[in-house]
Amino acid sequence: MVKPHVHLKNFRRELVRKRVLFLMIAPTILFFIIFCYIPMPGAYVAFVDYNMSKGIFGSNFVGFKNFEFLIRNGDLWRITKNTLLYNLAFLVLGNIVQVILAIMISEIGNRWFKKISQSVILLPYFISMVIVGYFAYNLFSYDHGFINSLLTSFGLEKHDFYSDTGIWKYIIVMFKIWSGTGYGMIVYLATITGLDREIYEAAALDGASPFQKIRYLTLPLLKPTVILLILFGLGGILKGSFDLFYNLIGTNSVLYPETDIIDTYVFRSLVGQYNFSQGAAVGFYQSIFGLVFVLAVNAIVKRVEPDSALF
Amino acid sequence: MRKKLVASLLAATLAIGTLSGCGQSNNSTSSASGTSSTESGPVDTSEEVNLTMYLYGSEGVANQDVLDELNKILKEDINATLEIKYIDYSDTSTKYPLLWASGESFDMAYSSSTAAVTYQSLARQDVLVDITDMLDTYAPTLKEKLDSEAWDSMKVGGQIYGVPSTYSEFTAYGFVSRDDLMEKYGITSISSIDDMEAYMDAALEDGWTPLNGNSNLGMDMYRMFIALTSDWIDAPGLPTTGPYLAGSVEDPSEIFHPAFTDEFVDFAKRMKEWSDKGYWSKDVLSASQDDKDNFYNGLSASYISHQPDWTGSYGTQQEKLPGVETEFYCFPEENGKIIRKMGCENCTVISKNSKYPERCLMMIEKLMTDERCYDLFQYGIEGRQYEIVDGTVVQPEGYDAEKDAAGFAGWALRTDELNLPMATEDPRRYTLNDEWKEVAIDNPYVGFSFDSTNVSAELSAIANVDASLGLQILLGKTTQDPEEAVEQYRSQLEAAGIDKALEEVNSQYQTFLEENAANTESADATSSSSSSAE
Repeated sequence: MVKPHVHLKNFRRELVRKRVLFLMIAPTILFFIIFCYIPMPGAYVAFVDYNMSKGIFGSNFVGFKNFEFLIRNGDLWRITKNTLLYNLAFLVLGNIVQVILAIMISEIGNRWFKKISQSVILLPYFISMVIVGYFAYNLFSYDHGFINSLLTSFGLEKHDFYSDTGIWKYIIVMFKIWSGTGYGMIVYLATITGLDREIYEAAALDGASPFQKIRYLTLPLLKPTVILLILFGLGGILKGSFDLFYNLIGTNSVLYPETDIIDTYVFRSLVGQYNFSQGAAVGFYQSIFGLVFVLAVNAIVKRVEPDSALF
Repeated sequence: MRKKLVASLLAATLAIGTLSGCGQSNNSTSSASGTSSTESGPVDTSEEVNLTMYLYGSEGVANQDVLDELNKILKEDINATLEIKYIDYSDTSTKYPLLWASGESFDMAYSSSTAAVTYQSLARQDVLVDITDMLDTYAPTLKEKLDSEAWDSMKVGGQIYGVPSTYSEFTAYGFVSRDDLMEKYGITSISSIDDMEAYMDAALEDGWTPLNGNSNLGMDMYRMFIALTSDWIDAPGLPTTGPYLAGSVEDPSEIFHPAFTDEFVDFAKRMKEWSDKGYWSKDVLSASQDDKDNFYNGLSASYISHQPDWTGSYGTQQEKLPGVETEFYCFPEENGKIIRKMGCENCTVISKNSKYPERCLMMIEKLMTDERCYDLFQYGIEGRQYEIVDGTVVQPEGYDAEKDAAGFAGWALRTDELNLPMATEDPRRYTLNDEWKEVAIDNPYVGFSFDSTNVSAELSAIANVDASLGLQILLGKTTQDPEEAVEQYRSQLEAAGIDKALEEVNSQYQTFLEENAANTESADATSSSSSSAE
C-alpha cells in the first residue's frame, strides 16, 4: 500500500517529466470533461417532469414515471433482446470479418493492389445510411427492385421482401458489416503492421508456411486487440445503430417484431410528443445497462485472461 | 528534438482551440445578458433595437436585400430592425424544441398548435410573453384588425401569448384526380367514395398505380375516414401523427377514439380491399416517394392532400404536367364539415428572453398591417421578386432564381385583408375559399389546449401501437383478417392506456367548457359576440 502523498508526488514528477505527452493528451481529456462529465448531472432530467422555464433541477421530481412507457406494452424485453442480439451479431461477425480481411490485406504483396482494395473496403463507411436505405429499397422493392426483376427474368416467382419478417435480420447484419468492415479493419491492419517482424523472419527460417504464420503468430498476437475492441463495443451494447435500422426499416411496421430495437421504438413513441424526460430515461437505461455489461464482461476476462482486461 | 517541439506546439494549439471555443460562446452570452434595458413608459422608441425572429425554412440568396429594404421602413417608423434566423424544414422537429429548451436569447418565433412543441405547451411552460394587456398600448391597430375569434383561439388559461394569422385557409382534405384520365375513363365527376373507386379501378386497369404513395398515405386514409363518416370532426388529445381522437359536431363534448366504432371495422375492411386490389404498391410501407410527388411526376393517377396544398401546387402542375388539369373531391364538404382554421395554427410569439417585448409587438403589427411591410415580407421587392398583374402576384420578366430568389416562411403573419392571389396558385383556391367561408363551421375546440402531462406515458405507448398495428390497418397491410386486426388493435390500445387518456381529455374539456361559460356570462355585460365554446 502506497501512501497518497507519495502518489501525488510521483504524479507531479511524472507531469513535469512527460509534460509533452500530457500536453498531447490534454485536448482529449478536456473533450471528455466538457462533453461527458460536466453534462452528466443532467441525466437527472430522466427523473423529473421537465419544464423549460424551471430548468432541469427546478422541475418536479417524479421518480420512475418517465420509464413507465417502456414497460406499459410489455415491449421492453422484446426490444432489449433484439438490440442485444443484433449488437452481438454485429460485434462478433464484424470483428471476425475485419480480422480476416486485415490479415488478407496485410499478406498482399502488390502495394498498388493493396491500397486499392483497402480503399474500396473502406468506402462504404462514408456512405450515409439514408443512401443505404435507398440502395436497399431499389434492391428489394416488389415492383421495380433489382432482385425481383432478376427473379422475373429467370421466370421465377417474385418475393415480397418488405413483408417477409424473417429475412431482414440477415439483410441488416449484412449491411452493417458491409459498411463497418473497412473502418474496423484499419485498426487491425495497424496492429499487424506494428507486430515485430523479427518473429516472422525467425518463423520463416524455421520453415513455417504462410498459413502457419497466420495461425501461430498473427492471430495470437492480435488477441489483445480483439478483446480490447470487443470490450469497447460492449459498452454500447444497448445503443442501437438507429440510422441503419431507421433507414432500412423505417415505417414498415410489418417488420417490427424482428427488427425493432430500443432506439427505433423510442423514436416512434416520442416523435409526436415533445418530451425530453422520457427520451433521457431511455438513454439512462441504455447507459446503465451498458456499464453493468462492460463491468461483468471485464470481470470475466480478468479471470480468464488477466493481461487483456481493461482495468 | 524538433519533432518534440512540433508535437507540443500542435498539442498546445489544439488545447487553446478548445478553450477559446468555449470562451467565445461564454463571452457572447454574458455580454448579451449584461445590457439589460430599463425601458418603461408607454411607447418609447428612442433606443434603436435589432430584433431577431426565428422562422422555418432556409435563407434565399436575396433575402438580405429584401430585409434591408424592409428595415429602412421599420427603422423610420418604429426605430427597430429585423433579423431573421432560419430553422431548416428538415430540422423543425429537433431544432425547434431545442430553441426553447436551450434558453437562447431571441425575440420572436413562429409557433403553431401543431408544431413539434405546440404553442399551448410553450405558453403553459411559461417561456412566452403574455401579451394580453400589452395589445391596447403597443398594437392597437393589430388588436382591432384581427377578429376576436382569432384572438380567442390564442387563449391559454384565458391569456393571450401570441399573434394569430387571419389568413383564411381551409385545410380540408380531398382526392385529387386528373381530368384527362377521367375523360378517358368516361367519369364525369368524382363526388363520392364510390366514384373514387370507379376512377381508381379504371386507372388500375390502365396500368397506373392509383395512389402510389408511401406510409404517409395511411394517415391520409384516416383523415378521409373521419371526414366522410357522419358528423365526426378531429378532436384534440392524441398527436395527429397517428390515428387521433374525434368528436361529433352535434355533441363535441364527448371525445372518443374512432377505432372502437363499427364504422372503423368497415373502414378497415375497405382498406384491406383497396390494398389487395393494388391501389397502392405492395411495399407502400417502405416506399420513400409520396403520392403527391409521384402524381406530378406522372407516376400516380391521384393523390390525397388538403386544399391549400393542392391549389398551391398549381405552379408545379403547369411545369411538370403541362396540359393536364386536376379535379379535387373534398371529403368534409358533403357532410358540411368545412372547419375554419384556428388562428393558433400559425402564429407569432415573443420569447420571455426578449428584452424588448413591446417593440416586438409593434414590429409584428407593422408586418401584418402596414401594406408596404406586408408586401415586402410576403412577396419581396416589387419588380425584382414579384409584379402585380391583374391583381395577381407573378414573377417578373428578368427574374433569375440564382440571384433573386427570396422569400420568408411568413405564413403566420398573413392576413386576408392584405393577401394577394399568386400566379402559382390555382385560382380555384379563392373561389372555394369564398364558397366555404359561407358554410364553414367553427371549431368547437378552439381555445382548448390539452395538457398531456398526466398521461405522457400512455401517449407514448399509444403512439407505438399506432405506428405498428394502427398503420398496418390503415393501409390494409395486416397479416390477419381486418376484423381480427381491429380487435387486436383495440386490446393493444387498451393495454397502452387509451381509457385513461380519453378520460383525461374529456374531463379537461369539460372543465374548459365550464370555465368558458362562466367567462362568457361575465363578459355578456360588455356584449362580447365571441362564444367559440357553444
